Amino acid sequence: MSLWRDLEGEMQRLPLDAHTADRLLAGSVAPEDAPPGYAGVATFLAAAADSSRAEDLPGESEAVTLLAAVVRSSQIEITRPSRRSIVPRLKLATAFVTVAIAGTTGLAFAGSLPGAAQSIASDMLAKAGVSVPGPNSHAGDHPNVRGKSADTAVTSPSSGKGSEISELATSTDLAGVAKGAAISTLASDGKSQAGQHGKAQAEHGASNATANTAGRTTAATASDGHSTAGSENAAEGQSHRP
Amino acid sequence: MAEIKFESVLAAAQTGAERALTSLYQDLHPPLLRFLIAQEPADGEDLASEVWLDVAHGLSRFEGDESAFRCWLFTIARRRLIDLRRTRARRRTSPVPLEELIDRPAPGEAFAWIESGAAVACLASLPPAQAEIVLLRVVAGLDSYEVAAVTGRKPGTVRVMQKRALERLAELVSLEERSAVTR
Repeated sequence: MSLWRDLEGEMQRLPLDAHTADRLLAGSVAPEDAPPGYAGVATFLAAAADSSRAEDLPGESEAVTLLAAVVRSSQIEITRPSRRSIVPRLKLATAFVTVAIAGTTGLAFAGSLPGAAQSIASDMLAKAGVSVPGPNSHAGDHPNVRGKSADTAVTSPSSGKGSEISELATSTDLAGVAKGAAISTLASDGKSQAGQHGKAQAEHGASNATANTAGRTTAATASDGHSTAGSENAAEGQSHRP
Repeated sequence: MAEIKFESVLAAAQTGAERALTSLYQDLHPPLLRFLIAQEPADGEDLASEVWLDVAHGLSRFEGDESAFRCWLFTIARRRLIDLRRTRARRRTSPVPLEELIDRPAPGEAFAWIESGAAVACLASLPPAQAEIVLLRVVAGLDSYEVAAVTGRKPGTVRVMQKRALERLAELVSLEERSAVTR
């Protein structure tokens, strides 16, 4: 006699492989052919699958009538938007393209397009036999040419001045303040006064020298002769004794 | 339903022919209802009605064979279930009048009119993801690839989950046997 916990299925149940599990769920394994411990499962699954068979369904005819009405109405909904949606879109697109072409042509006739666009419009309309002003038709006497700066002659009024200044700067005829003054005068067309105040600067230097000498005297007096301020010993190469 | 027959039935149903729609309904409503009631006993019938309305709305655009139609139907059913559970989760409380509670069937009683409903109820006692897969396999009659398509999982994952579900089911059946012996 076996105890309740020693049931046959419990004792002998083996791990289930994926393939057998798949076949059990598909209902292709009969309870007597099921792996040990799974006969009950096979019976159970067969019962569950059997419960899904067709039977008298309450409210079936009402449900079907409602479904048929919904199917028909959804067909109408599907066809209506397609008629409504395409035509207005086409009209809108046509109108947009027409306005764009007419606007561009009008601006091209007025010559109001940007240079490159005006040039392209002029070329294209010329092929169609329509005369439209070019990009530089409002330029007066200026050449009807775009975009080539290399062809334009350099007409700067000070074109030769730079080379003259360069020559003067590299020459060795003059030197120091005189050279700078000459360059400055040439560059400013004679307006510069560079080099004319050199003497005044020298006078300032002399004045400073006098002041320094006085300072040294004052310093020596104040320190009872111990001060070395302004000592000429250093300039003469003698060593200083404290 | 044979392949050629299904195609003609579907074509007629797409025009709103009631006989064709009756054929589809009789074939697919019982498994659909069991699938939904097994997971949501109180709302299964309402969900089934909503699923059929969704099918009716999209039927004229549907293209495919019988297997694809079955997959489509149960995909809609599964989404309806998910929507219901989300809505329920959003509502913290759902006050119900006392009279309504008296009329509402208990989860077990929902299967009273279904023959072999106990088996389906027992399948539903598996963990939710496993129960869904086994119900789709056994009740809806889908294969593992179709179940993978309906649930958005990989076929290999479905196979592993269904194997675990059967092992768990074997334990449950064993427990039932034990209780029958001790009774």
